[in-house]
Amino acid sequence: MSSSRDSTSQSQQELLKRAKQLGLRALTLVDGLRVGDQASPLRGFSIEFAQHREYVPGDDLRHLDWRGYARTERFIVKQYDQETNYTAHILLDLSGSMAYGKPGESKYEQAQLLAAVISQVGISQANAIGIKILEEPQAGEPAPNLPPSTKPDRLRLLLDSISRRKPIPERNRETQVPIIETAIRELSDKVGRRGLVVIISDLFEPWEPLMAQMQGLRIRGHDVMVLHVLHSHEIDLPWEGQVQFEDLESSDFLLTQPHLLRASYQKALQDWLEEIKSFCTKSRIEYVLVPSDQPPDESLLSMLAQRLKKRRIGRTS
Amino acid sequence: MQFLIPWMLAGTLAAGVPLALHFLRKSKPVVVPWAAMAFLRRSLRETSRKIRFRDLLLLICRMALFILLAIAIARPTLSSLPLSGATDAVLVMDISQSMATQEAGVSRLEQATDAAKVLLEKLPLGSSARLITVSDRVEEKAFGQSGKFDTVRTALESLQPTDYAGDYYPGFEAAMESLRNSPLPVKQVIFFSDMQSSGWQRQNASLRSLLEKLPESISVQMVKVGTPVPINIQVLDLESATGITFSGQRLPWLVHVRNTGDQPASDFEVRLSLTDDPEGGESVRVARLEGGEERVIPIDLLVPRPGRFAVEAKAGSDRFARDNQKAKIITARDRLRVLVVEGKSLVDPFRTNGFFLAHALRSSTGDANAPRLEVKTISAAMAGPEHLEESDVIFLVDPVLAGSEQLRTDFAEQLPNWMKTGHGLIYFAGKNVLAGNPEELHPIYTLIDGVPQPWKADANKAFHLDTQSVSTEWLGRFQSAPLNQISQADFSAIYNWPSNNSSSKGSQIVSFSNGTPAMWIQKFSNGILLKAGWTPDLECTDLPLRPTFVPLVQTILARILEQSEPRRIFPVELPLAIQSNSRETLGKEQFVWIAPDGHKYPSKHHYEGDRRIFEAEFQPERSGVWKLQSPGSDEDFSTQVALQSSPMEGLELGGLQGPEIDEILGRKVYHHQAGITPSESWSSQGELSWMVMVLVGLLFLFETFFAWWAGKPL
Repeated sequence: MSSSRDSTSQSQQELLKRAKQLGLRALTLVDGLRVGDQASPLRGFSIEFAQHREYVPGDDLRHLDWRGYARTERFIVKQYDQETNYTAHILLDLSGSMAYGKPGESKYEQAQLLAAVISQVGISQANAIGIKILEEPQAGEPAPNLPPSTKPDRLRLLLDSISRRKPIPERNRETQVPIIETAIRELSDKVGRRGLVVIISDLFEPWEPLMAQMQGLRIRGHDVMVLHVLHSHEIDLPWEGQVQFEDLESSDFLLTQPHLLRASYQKALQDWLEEIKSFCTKSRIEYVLVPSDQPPDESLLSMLAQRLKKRRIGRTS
Repeated sequence: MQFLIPWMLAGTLAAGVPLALHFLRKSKPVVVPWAAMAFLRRSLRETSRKIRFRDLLLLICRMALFILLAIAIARPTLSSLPLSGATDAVLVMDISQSMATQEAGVSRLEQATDAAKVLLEKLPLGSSARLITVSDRVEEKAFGQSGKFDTVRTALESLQPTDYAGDYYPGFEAAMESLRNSPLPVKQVIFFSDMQSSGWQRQNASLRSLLEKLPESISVQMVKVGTPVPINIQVLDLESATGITFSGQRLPWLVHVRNTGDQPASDFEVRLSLTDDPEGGESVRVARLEGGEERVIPIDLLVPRPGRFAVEAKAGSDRFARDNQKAKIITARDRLRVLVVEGKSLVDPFRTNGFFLAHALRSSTGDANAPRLEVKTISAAMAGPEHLEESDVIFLVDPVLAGSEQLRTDFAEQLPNWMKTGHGLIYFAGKNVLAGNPEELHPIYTLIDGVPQPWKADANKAFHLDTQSVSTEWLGRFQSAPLNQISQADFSAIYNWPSNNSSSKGSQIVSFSNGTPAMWIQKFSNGILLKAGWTPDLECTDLPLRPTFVPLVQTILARILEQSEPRRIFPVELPLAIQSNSRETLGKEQFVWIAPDGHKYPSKHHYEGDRRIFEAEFQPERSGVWKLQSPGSDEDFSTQVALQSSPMEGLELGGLQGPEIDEILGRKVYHHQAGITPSESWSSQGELSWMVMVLVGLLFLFETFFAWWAGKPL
């Protein structure tokens, strides 16, 4: 048991190491407080040349392009892109539905891993990382909401708070609560600066309002990334015989023979996934489907590599 | 539909097994906490109706599978045989002649009785069974009830095919009548037969009417036996070619044979002999006789001495042997005396009206040096009572009936008594007939029943004999050469008796083309009177110059002789009764009938004047030659009679098929086919087990495929 844990830990370390090498880049322009390696919408005077413009009184004379003046006898100043850090908001879904899966394969564990990796990668790049854990409202300890911070000390606190949380199935409620939609709306209302929003969830909520909120984030200029965590059972519906399905987020249950529903279920789910992908592509939202019962290495690293590549292409163009 | 093993229907309760499995399997579901409930709900909404329908179909399919399996094991049968409740069964057994046909060494009747015995075994408790035989008559043979059918079985085993023709109506009528007041709930008429066409056709209207009125409580089952017979040789008839049989002469005979099958018969023997000397006859080999072909085989026969003999013709051997022989009783004579009474005695023989007739008679004597047929010609004025004693047959050829040369009245007055002793008189009407009241004219008019009226032909339009009008008894001769050419003869003057229209006075032999009778024959006590409305001379007709004239005269003479004797040939269906003319020849008062197979049966008799009428106290069922004999002595009295069966029985030995019978009856009845081994074939006849098993198999395959497709194996 311990050896398997060790091997899991090693593979996670390997994942983290490779992820740090790739880094987490925002694909859109984000607003930062400090100089960093992330493109910002502000024109500054740093290393990356952006454009020339006419001198206007008040401009710093240090930025006058004297060579240009010599050629054209006009005062022009050189402008550079200001590179800044970004603020990443991780919305980690730990609602009841994320409890599905046996230990080691559960959706919430996969989601926690993804959140941890992204946090460490982000902080290692001097980005401010904040995390909001999405849980059904319940009595007891309120869900931690860690505001964005660039301090490495906060990372330990952040990881600790993530690892201590577990989703609790809610069987007493009659209907689901749209916690992701609510969290995005709150985030969209509160955060003025453009940043990176990472949603790690199974997205098992009414899709239309959720889609509208994500669209809202994009309109406000946020770079949105969706890490869609599903268990392969939820994709394949592999059961046979008489099965009673009990909803993890409400008192709903269904007694049926899943093999009879399998085909139509799979079709409905695939249609939904296609709809999500299509929406994300149109809205320029990064979307990655991460099966919870498989190591996230391939999908996560592939996503990070893609972002890095897109970022470079964006700069050269 | 009925079932051979009805209690196996309890197996249909097994239809509950799929239902039970359905509920049992529902009882312990696996509980799975689930997140994507919305998608499950959506797919359930989309597929629930389809799934429910599929489940229902599968359930019905499985239940039907069990039910059909139980039905198949219960052995369903289209017919209600054997029966599921106390049954009143009437077994109608066809014992007509065709039931003697052999099928692989077993007669059709034996097949039918075997099938009937199997049926008796299958009758439920409390049933009753009645055995009725039918040919052209019906007889109740046995009755058994409450499962005690030994008497019926014994009666079945003792059944023998008769030589009667089939007529099925009486059998059905008797069966319906016996069931009319039956208290049992199920009533069945089961008819075992080879379903001969003639049996259905003889009274088809009555049969149809009977079955139309059939109560619904009575059902009719047909059990057919027999297969088509490809070759069947029939002896249709045998006759003397000369018409008159003289003893000590080897004379030609004609045997009519026919192959009623549809395939040729080859290399078979036709034999003609006296029944007293079966080895002494003569035979001819026939190389080939096509299917459906009828042929006349000439064979000579020598009858050694005068007297009455039975002549029998036999042809070939086949599966239906009953019609391979036919017998006839003949009288062989050592001589025959014929008197021809002419109109006038004239010097010119060609101008006498009996000239051609006398010569035609003489030409048929055979041996000119020792004529056995003695022909004497005299004029009407010379004929006297003394001539009657020395004559067997008299021809009156238009005798003069007035004046000095008229036919002697004493001769004419003696003629009736002479005829009554078994003699024949032929009267030809001609120009010598007189007009007037017959009562006041010559006494011959009283004998010939009126004055014939002359009927002259138009100048260019002569009368002809109409061969289509020939009566049935004479038809055979007129259909074959040379008499089939007789219509070519011209008749310029003909005579008609107004009284001939009365059917009580005898029967017409043939008529002229205008419908007027040309020859008329009537029984005159034991004698025969034949009247002809023409004269065999050239003033009336050119017939005497034609080749048909001599055969016509021979035929008339032969028929007159044949019919003037007591009848010795009967259809086997008629009651057996013959008469004897002479009391002197009779011996003791006790007589017995000896059947063709040698069995003896008592006889009874009574007198009618001089005649002694012998009647059988039984109805002989077999054709062939029967002898009537006074016991103890062959010399006292012995006579023979030939019983002949109908040739119709051998015509279509295949019998009718179910639909054809249904068409005749005007309604559908149940049909079964009993095979060579009826106990096996009967039990499977009408059964639907195999069909249901095929259905079960198909349903099983469908269920397996459907369950696999639906993902719900049992």
